[in-house]
Amino acid sequence: MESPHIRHSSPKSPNRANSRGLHTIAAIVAFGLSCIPLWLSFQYSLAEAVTWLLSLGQMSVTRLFSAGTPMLVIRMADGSNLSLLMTFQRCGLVSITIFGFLWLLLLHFLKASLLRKIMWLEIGLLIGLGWSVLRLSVSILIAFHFGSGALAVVDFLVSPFADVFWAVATWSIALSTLTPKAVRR
Amino acid sequence: MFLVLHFICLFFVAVLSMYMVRHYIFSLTALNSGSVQPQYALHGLSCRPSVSILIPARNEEAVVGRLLHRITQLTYPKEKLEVILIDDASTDSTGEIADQFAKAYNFIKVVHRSTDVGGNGKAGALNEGARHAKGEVLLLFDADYYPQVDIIEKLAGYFVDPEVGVVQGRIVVLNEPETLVSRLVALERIGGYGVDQLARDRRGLVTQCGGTVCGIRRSLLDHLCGWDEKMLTEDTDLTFLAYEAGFKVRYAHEAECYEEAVDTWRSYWKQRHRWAKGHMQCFFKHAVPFIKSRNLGLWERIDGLLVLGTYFVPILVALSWLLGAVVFFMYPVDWFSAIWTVIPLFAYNAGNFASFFEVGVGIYLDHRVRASWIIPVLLLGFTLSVLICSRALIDLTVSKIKGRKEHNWAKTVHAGEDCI
Repeated sequence: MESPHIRHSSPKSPNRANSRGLHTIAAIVAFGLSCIPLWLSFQYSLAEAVTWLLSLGQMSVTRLFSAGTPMLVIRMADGSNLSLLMTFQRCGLVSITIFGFLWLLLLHFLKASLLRKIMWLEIGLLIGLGWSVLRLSVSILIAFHFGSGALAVVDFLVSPFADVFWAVATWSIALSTLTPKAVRR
Repeated sequence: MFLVLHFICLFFVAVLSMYMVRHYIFSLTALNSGSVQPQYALHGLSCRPSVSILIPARNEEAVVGRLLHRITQLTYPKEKLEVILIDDASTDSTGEIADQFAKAYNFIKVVHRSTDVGGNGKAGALNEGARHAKGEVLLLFDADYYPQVDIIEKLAGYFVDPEVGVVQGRIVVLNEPETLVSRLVALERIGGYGVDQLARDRRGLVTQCGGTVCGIRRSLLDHLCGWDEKMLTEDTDLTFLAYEAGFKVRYAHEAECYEEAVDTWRSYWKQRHRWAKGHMQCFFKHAVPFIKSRNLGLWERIDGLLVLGTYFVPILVALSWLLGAVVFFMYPVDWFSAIWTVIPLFAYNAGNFASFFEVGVGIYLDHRVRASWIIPVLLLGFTLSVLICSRALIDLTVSKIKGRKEHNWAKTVHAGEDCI
């Protein structure tokens, strides 16, 4: 008797395999085209956006792009300056990368149209960008009011968890919308 | 000092990464294979062994009647079926309800255990039931469960393979919409059974017996001399004993049984604390014999070790995060930033031992939509798991030092509200 552990492979049609292969290539290309430019420009775009947002609240923030990594210089309430290096960790680039890979490694395998999946990749990256702008602005505001010690707590202890939270939440919503309508329960 | 801390932190992260990769492989396996399992009547062969259903019950008057009534509706031939309810020193009317069913149906028997011998835990009750059972296969159900009518056919079918010692069915939460706790438990069940167990079965890895909704070959149980009454999670113990004895454990995804999940944080804590403590007991009992076992392949050994260590993972995540904070602030180096920021991701991979993407894939395969919206809340489960597992480890260590015995019923109160 044949052991139940032996798996019976059903012959897959070559057309289906080809279309799946093309689908994967298209997903990788879309991932590359969306993520690589974002990775390259993210720290600069974020510095610009945060400076603009905080200037609306009459805060004095200067951006320095001369060094390898962009830097924000914030005039604190006591008149001193706080320099904030826009490292990839502080920018939230890690969570955006996590979302990108979650999309590529899991959402891509769902049975939904490629266009809808790519749409969710773009939406996720936009949410990540918006989240990073808000989080960094809030961190700077906390530093402005409570000092650089509070910034360290928020920036390094709370932010990594908060960053993963948006990535997981967005991924979950994307997953729910990519379930085929015909079989939804 | 600096190097040692970095090394320890890197080691923790490496172990956690192994769990993450494993969960990812399982998710892909489940996605690619779908949720359809092979027929339980393999190659047209049907397996209809004689079956004894064991129902250990202690103070379950709210639910036991519902289960016994359901069992009378099962489609399995009654001449091959016996049902043994073990009334384990109940102080409510569990025994009387069961006696009424025994009077009405001759295939139902009730074993009453007095307070002198009973009430010392589920394993003791099961051993008592097994002494009275005559079936070639023993099926276990908890009193709050509600099986599909053809569940025995689905579970028993796997015993056509002589290598199969245990078959586990799928557990689905019945009272999911009641509270946030029951919703979280339902998510864990979806990830744990709908993806994790399914994938482990497909890949020929270590499928786990959950201690309920499972069938056990009588000859295996006799070979093991019954359940170990010293173990808090006799199901995990049985799983590893079965593998070490050269048997396989299979998972029958299509054999569904519905449970009344815990719906308060207090019950959640009590239940998970017992599971965590029991799993840790099993880790110390089985880790070395399992690795040394000659009946197992390399991947089975690795997977088994990871299964045994599951309840250490939340502690490991918390430790690596704390240690990472020390390293990050006291001895900052550039490359460590990347590791430090990834650690929170592990929290979602240890929520309750089914990673968030496993839960997501399980929900997708079940064609559900809104259930995935509360996946981010799994972080709450993780936070609680850190506390539960840490407490369990401390309690286990203290009871080892003091030589205290562990065999008590950790009762989960069931309301038995009619949600069927």
